[in-house]
Order: sequence, then C-alpha cells, then structure tokens
Amino acid sequence: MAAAPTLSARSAYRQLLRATRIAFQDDVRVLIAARQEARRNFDQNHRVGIDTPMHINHAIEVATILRHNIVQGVKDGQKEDSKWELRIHDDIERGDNDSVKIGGKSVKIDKACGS
Amino acid sequence: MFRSAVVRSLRTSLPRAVRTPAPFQIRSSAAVRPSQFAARLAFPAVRCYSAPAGLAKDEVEGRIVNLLKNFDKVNDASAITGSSHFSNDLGLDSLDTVEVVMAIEEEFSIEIPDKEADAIHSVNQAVEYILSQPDAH
Repeated sequence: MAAAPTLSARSAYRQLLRATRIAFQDDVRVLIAARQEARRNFDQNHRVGIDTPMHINHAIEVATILRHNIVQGVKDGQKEDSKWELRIHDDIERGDNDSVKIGGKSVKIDKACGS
Repeated sequence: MFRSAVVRSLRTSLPRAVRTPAPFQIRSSAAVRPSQFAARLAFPAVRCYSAPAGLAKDEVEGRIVNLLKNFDKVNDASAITGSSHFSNDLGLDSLDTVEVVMAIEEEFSIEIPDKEADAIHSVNQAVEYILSQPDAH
C-alpha cells in the first residue's frame, strides 16, 4: 500500500479528531465513543513497526470517511411531530448512483437529499 | 434670486445666533464655566465599538489551566501552573498533547494549523500562541 511517509501519527490523530468533531457535532455520546475508539487503536500500535505507515494511512482514511460520508439526522426535540432533517455540511460527498460513475469530476447538486 | 435671498437671511441670522450666548458667557461666573466646558467636551465623545477587545494574559492562562484540570489524564492536578510542560511536568504523551491542543482550539474557537500545533508543548507556549491570534476569543 502506498503510504505518505511525511505524515506523522500525530497529524493523523489530529485529522481524525477534527473529523469526529465535524461528523458527530452536538452528539456528545457518539463523539466521545468515537474518540475513545480512535485512541484505543492508536495505543494498540504505539510501537513503531514496519506497518506503521499503513496504520497511519488507515487512520487518515477513516477520517476521510467520517468527514465525507456520514450524515447526521436531527430532530427538533420540542415538537412531538417534527420531522427528522439531514444535516448536510459542506464536506459531505454529493452525488447519486448515476453521478458517481462520472468519476473524477465534482458533482454539484443544489437540492438537499432530504427534500 | 431665491438662493441669494436664502444666503442673505442666513447671513443676518448667523450673527444673531452667535450673539445670543455671548452676554450669557460674559455674565456667568468663573465657577460655572468649568462645568460648561466639561459638558461641551463630553458631548462629541464617540464610542468605538469596532475596536477588538483582546484577551488578557491572565484570562487565557486561567482558561487553559482550567481546561487541563478537567483533563482526566493529568496525573497531578495541583502541578498545573502557567509554566507547566505537558509531557515533562504533567506526564502526558504525544497523543494526549494533541488532544489538549484540540481542546484549546475548541475553547478559543480557532483552528491551529499542524505546524504551529506541533510546536505547542507547554502552557506557556499555548498562552503565547493564543495571545498572538486576533481571532481567539
């Protein structure tokens, strides 16, 4: 696997924490769980070995998935019959089953997925 | 024609406006004058709300120390001072340091770039960095 050797574990960890902050905004329970899991995985491989770049790469890939492919559903707690709404932030990957085949081009979709 | 009439009326009214307070000023005693002067000074005073408030060094240091006290991996909470080193004095490893710096980012609602974040190893350095950031609050 091609790994970027310049990226340090610290930087990867920081990227991962940032990604959890974006992905699990206002959801403290999941946010803490995600950070604990990240920490556990980093502690597991704290010794530098031959596969360290691979683990770092894995962390960065997890961060990318968290950032681009997780959408939160938000419900207005006050109202009993309020709808769930998707919180689509800027980093969310846009597109559908047809547009992903275009490959390499950024697809712009104005309409939010929920509406 | 009309304009000249307006100018003439202004010219005649102007000295009258100046003249009216004049006798009052002459008549007024020396004791009254300072208060008049002060009132006139206070009037044009303009408050500039756009000026940045800035953060005091003590406040920044206090907030960072508080944040560290709530951080459960610090082994001795009483050892936290303004000059503590994260790894030497507080027993934090490099990942903990990353977490602390992230917490500082969230506390002051700024984003610290990787290069600067890697250089922060002590409370002192963090305080200095925050003070150098105009966006921090």
